[in-house]
Amino acid sequence: MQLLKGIPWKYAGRKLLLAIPLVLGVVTLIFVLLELAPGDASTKFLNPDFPPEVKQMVIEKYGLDRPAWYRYFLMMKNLAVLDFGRSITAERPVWDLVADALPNTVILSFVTLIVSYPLGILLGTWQAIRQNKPDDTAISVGSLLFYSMPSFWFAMMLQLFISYYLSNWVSGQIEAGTLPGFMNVFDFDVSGMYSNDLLIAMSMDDPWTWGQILSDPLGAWNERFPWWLERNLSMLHHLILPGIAMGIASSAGAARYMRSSLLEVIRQDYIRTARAKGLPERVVILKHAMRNALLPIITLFGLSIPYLFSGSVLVEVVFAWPGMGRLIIDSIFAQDTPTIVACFFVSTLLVVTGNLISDISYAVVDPRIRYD
Amino acid sequence: MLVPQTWNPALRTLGALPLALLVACSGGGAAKDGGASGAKWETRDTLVIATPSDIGSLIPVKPRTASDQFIISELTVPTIDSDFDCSLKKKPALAKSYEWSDDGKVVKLELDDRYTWEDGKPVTADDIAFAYELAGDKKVASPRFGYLEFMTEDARPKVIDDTHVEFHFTRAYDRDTQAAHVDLTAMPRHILGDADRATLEGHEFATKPTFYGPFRLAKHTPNQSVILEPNWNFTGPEERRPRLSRVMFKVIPEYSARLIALEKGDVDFMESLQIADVDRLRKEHAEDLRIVLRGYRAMDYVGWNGSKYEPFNDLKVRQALAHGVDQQRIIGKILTGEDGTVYARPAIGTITPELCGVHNDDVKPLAYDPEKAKALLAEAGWTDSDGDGWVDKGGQKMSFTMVTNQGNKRRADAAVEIQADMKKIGVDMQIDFKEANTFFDKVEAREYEAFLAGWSAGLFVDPSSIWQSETPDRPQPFNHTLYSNAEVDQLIDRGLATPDPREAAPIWKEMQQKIYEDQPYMFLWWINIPVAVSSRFENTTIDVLSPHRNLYQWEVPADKVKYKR
Amino acid sequence: MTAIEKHEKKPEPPKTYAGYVWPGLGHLLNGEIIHGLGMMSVTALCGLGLIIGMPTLGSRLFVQTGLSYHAVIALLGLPAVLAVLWFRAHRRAFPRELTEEEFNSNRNIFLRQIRRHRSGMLGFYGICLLLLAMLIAPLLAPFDPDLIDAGPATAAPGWWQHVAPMIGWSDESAVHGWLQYPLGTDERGRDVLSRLLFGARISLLIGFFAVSIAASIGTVVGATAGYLGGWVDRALMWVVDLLLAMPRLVLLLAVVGIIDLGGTKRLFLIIGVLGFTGWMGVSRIVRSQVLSLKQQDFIQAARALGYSRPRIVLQHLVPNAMAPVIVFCSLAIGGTMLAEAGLSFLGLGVQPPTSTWGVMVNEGRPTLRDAPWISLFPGLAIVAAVMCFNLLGDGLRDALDPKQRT
Repeated sequence: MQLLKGIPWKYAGRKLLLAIPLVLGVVTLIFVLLELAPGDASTKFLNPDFPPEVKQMVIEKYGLDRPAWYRYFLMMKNLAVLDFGRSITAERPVWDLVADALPNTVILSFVTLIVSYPLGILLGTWQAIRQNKPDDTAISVGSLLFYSMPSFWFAMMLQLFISYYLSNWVSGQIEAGTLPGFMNVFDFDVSGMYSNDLLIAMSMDDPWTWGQILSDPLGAWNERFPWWLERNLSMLHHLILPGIAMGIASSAGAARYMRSSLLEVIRQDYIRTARAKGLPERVVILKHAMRNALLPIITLFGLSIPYLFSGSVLVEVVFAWPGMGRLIIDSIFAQDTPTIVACFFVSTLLVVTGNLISDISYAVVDPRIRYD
Repeated sequence: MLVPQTWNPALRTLGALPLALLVACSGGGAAKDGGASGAKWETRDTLVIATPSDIGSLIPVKPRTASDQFIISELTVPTIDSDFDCSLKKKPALAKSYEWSDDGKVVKLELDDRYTWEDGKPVTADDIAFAYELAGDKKVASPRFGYLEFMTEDARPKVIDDTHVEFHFTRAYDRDTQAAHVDLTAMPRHILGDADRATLEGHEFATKPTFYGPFRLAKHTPNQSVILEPNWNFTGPEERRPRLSRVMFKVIPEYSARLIALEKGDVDFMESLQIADVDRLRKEHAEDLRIVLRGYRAMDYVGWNGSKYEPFNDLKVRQALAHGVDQQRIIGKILTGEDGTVYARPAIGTITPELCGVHNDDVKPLAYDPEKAKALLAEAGWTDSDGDGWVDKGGQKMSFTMVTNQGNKRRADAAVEIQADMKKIGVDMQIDFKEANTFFDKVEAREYEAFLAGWSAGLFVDPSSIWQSETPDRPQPFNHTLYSNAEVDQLIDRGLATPDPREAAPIWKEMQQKIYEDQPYMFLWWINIPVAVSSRFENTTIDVLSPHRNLYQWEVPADKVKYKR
Repeated sequence: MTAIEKHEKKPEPPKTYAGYVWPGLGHLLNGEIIHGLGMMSVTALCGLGLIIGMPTLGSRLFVQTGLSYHAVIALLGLPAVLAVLWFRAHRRAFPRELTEEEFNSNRNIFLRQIRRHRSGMLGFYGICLLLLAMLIAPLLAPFDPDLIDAGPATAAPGWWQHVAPMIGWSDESAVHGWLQYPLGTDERGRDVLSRLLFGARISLLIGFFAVSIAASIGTVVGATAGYLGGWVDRALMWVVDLLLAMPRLVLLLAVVGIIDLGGTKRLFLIIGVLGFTGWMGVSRIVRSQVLSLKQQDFIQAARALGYSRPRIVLQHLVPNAMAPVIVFCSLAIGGTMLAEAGLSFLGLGVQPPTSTWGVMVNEGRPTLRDAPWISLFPGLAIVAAVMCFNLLGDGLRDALDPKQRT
């Protein structure tokens, strides 16, 4: 309750209102860009296997021969009710495509974010406490290294060294009996979200049906929970490598920020006062310094949500993770305007939300901040 | 609601260690059949096929991706089945008999009345008529529109009774093509009859279809997998009953990821392998993988567009360029395995050598001869007059850009090799890689001087769209080089109007000869596409018709079963 | 203000002439380890270029198409670099006497700060080595980067062929000498090291030019918005918000994927697009700088003197707002190189035969397991270069930050 009070509702509302023209601007910009480019989505229907009439039929069906302004206003009109229309290449409602892909990206980004930030904060704090000691330097070098690394290359190297060399070695050792069987957790799949076995099991029965949960909760728990657990563990297992590839740069960034921010705070008068009062160092750091040093990290956290979205595009491609990355790339190559517009819409919304979250949490954590 | 017995009982306790659970994932158990009713027969194991694209829509008149076609063909039974041996060999399937009228204009089918839709309704002649109705509807914008091209308006097709149907054509033509044109998959009118035609591909049917084939769709996890299981309500002949418990199409868009999955055993089947990888697979996975060559189905060529780059209008220049490129060397380098297996043969036209009666073996490819190439160029007026290493004419050096599409490693390699050979005869060829969609769009618009592209050959002969002259009333969007030769036009017309393939063969041979003499393309090679399949599968059909078909025949011996579920 | 803080002159270190023998040695003997080692490595690289390049200079200078201007530039550049090195060595031996005023000038304070910043200097010398390597690439490269069949296809690095059997990694015996194909060959038998050296040119070119474009646009927009204020400010900042609201990579993908340009034009497109999508950060920095500077006395004075607006902005505001922009640029070059690599990875990079490190990483992907070196080394090069730019950027920020001055 105390926290809820701290939320500047009016400010948040105003920010959200301001976001509307921003989103419309993004959509317009992308539309103009697509119009300037030669060709349109009907190209895909040009294929020696199809009669040439098909391309014309598609053009007529989707109104691609209408003037640009007409299509623009039509799109805007539909956008008002959040209808993105139908994808021209997939010939399905764009929302369906997004609904298939977005949850997977969100899972990947969310888990990565949840793990990478605490890790970064921990490392940064450790570094600040042990300033200029060898371990500080080592972590600094390490975090700079990962911060400077192209995520897709790192992903490829993980595939090579972990999924291939390490996995081969481990399975060889298990067969030879030198390693216990449970070590096969290091046998990582290179692609996808689930193992074949699990995909097969999922095709036989749905692990979690609402009907059963409502009618027989206890039975559902007994019967379904193991499956649900197995399924999510399989997913987590598949999530580890892409998560590392994506998250390590955020961790490194957070550690760098945390270190400098904490060092700055430690230099300030009130920390000196606290130390002078004879408080134990642990209390000084954790209670007094950390609270203020965390503020810039919170901003970073909010701002990095969209970056994770971008970053996931490349990592998803390497690990064949069925998320937004593939959808974005395919739709751009196919010049599928409705889908591209929807992708930009979603990502812009993420940016705006990220900014808002960081602003608001700032206000909640730090009572000195006032937005009016 | 059965719970698979494969779960480790330990999983039921909450405190089980995550590590232990992951290990348990691959644990064995008793085989279990699907959930549907009906008499069951014995099935075993799962076939996992790597596919680059997810399914788009499983509506036969609106396929969206390559996977759609493969999956539909397993969910259904073809109207007229075919095998391939030098030419298509037709055999009855859904149509238990088919016959032509004497003038070759009418095809009459008699349907096998055993087949039923999954919901028990019989597959009737009207369902076939319904498919053609949809294909012809402009609102559907069906890629199968071409099937109706030569059918008369009132009989596309004509339903006689529940099991008899007639197709009336405006003229007689090649019977293989005609047979293909009557083979549109039947569609259930009782389900889709009232569906909105304009948004047909959005109908529930597109992802949860009902068919009459040996398999049914068990589960589609978008962008991840499509799982087929035996259609336990299958009413067709017993020999068409599947012997596999499941077929999983696993969506892995990236080639390298597919390959790793294949090597790890996550995937049992993969097509379009690169030669270097085949070499390694043969070496390192000789035990567990079989490499099968499908036959010559795809060809590569360089198109010369005289309307964009004037010198290509000169036959001598085109011949010189063909003499200047050492095909054998390039094949030896990029299409030959370490063990000496050659995966390609020189091409002389767009008719695949697999059509052995029709392919003209007498046409010999122009031999590599750089001196002759230079001489021919000189005859055409192109000499290296300023001594800079490049041939020139009227002060202009011969310089053009050859465009090709991104993402095809074979073409990228070939382009670089061709460039190197061109340099040797003093021709400056630049390479430009375009994104695939843009590339094909621009090739159709004839905006490139030269382009490296390919054709996937049909297994019945219809060269009209590629080689017939474009006229105002007959646009030929696939005649990319604006080839025009009245004699060839005539030959094609004559060939197509000849119903008997044997009679048409000499005509096609003559056509190939004429086209090769004109060198509108630099014909490069036919590629014998290698696919890999796990060696535990037996009775597999992998051939020039399809990388995998008749999956119902595929089987695994009891002692080699991998997936026990 | 600490910026005008007086500094005690340190006693001059003892003179040493060792630097004349090997530029950098003098610094090293004086205890300036990073400067010493840095300069010595740069000199060594020059020497390496001479040793490798000179014996076969003829074939490097004259290629089939005539005189290779790449090699000519390298040949002209090498003496220039050596001249600078020896001049620095000379300055070490005979340091210039600084007057009190010079010693306390902002420029010299900054220079002393940054030269004392160890990690920053590490980055600086790393970048120097990189720039030198790319300048004299035609002398260093064992082969023409685009030469097919310079060696067998996918040959492992020579040294690895010897090392691998020793550590039990493989049981194939070595085919090539230790130093042959030091980074292996790719699928078409091209030498990876040569491609890496030449690829550096394009990668860095893209980084530098794109960031220059971004910095220029950002400065102009930021200064305009900050100085004029009012609706202009609001409008410009709205555009900044708009562009920041789109994930950069996705925007890049959209623009490069949709606008289809081939050949050299593609390179310019990539530079342009990276520039036009990277300026928003600069404009925000410059704007806030200008906003705070605007209130200061010297600007008020200039305004009172009746100077024209452009003159005030360009002569007085912008130069004083530049410090954070320079820091930003150094950091942004790294970011831009990463973005370019990402584009190339998706097949939207520069067109062959031109190559960048990102393109090379992508080229090695199909054979990642067979020939990992094709992707491994270009990736390492990207990491190293981006790290150097980040180190330098951090160093510059510390040096320019008054709070850090001691």
